[in-house]
Amino acid sequence: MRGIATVPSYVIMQPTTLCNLDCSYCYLPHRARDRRMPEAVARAVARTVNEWAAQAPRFSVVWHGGEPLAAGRAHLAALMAPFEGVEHHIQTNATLIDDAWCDFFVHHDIHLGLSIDGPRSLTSRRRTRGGEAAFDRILRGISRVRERGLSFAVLCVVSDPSPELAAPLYEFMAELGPTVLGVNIEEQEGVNHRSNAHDPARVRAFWAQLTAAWRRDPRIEVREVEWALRFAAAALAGQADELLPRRHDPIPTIGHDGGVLLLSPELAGFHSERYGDFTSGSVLQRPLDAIVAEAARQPSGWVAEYLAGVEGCRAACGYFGFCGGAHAANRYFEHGRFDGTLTRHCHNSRISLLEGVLDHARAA
Amino acid sequence: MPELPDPADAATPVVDAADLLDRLRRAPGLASLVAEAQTTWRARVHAARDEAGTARVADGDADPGPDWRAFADAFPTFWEFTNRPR
Repeated sequence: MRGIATVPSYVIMQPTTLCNLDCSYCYLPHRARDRRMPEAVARAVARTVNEWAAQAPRFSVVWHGGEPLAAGRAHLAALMAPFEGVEHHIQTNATLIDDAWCDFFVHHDIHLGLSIDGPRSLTSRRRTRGGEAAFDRILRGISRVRERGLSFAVLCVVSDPSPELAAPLYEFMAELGPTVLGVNIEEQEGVNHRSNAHDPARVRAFWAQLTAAWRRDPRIEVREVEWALRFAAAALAGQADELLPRRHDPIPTIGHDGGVLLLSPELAGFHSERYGDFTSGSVLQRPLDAIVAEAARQPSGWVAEYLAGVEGCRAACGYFGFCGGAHAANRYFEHGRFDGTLTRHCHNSRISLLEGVLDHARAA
Repeated sequence: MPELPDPADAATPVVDAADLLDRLRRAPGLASLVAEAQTTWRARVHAARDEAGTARVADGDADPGPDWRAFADAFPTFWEFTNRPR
């Protein structure tokens, strides 16, 4: 994996910075403010995206937040209107979902991602703006989705990756019934300054126990465990080098104001003396394809430093073939720059993951 | 709680890539775990293709084929692992 592709396979859109929740681990800096994306930004993005989508079997537009449903149905529909030939995805905390939203999802053929961290005790860091537990509201929204028979994925944050919590987490999720479960160990990122340093042996045991729970009843897809097994399968077949893509997807994230952030949605809304606002341009001033193509041809600023960091990972870390290098946001928020390599996120969510799956295989 | 390496020491190799691959190949139980996973993946593709009315995957096919992109199909925040530019 070297360099950046000039055409992505998806873009991420920030329809509003606002979130109606105030989860204690959230990284978003402006989640209390409702800065909405103007329709002009969506139209500018769609001019490029519709061309990309016409040339690809599939192209995704991911509506992320803030909380995208906080933008309201009418505004979200207006933002989606200029796009043609794309799949729309929404990642939502589910608390605002009612029958009208379910109608909206059906009408726009939305791919849904819902955020819940497990049973009540494991979802305790998700809070309303008034500080109340959000679990019941989340579950109520998910129930609406289930009652309507809509397919959904789940993204969960694990703040305490203890081995004894893995099986209850998996069993709860299997009953909930998503197609796919993504498990994010809480990251020290953005405005969340809580340390993500954990005992590596316990994190490894957490992943081993999660693998065991999935193996007993693999009715849902677990992104992390199955990616590790995908890598293991490739390694056993002598094809480990062929697993990662040849180039990085630029993953353009379009902020509410039209600013384009490449490679790392988590950097949206941040500013640094050294790197500025991390954007590579604005779709209100230049076409999106020109912004992406220039960054791919001549990487500069933090993007160039990040690509140097990826090469550092390739040279220094034996797990590179599994992960493709530490994520940009984790480097920045843990190291203060982009050309460092090993992060605590690497330990928690890559190294301990692969080793935990191996531990399970050996012990089974 | 054990201290993790300081970022300043991050260039220190964690493990050699060849050693890791060798460890994977020699890990007892891994081949059967992978085989079970591949069976699960094939079953998912069969179910999806049955639903769509398209051709099934041959049972001997270890990789379910080009429509194996379930993370990307299902997950909006799929950049975690499936960063797959054409």
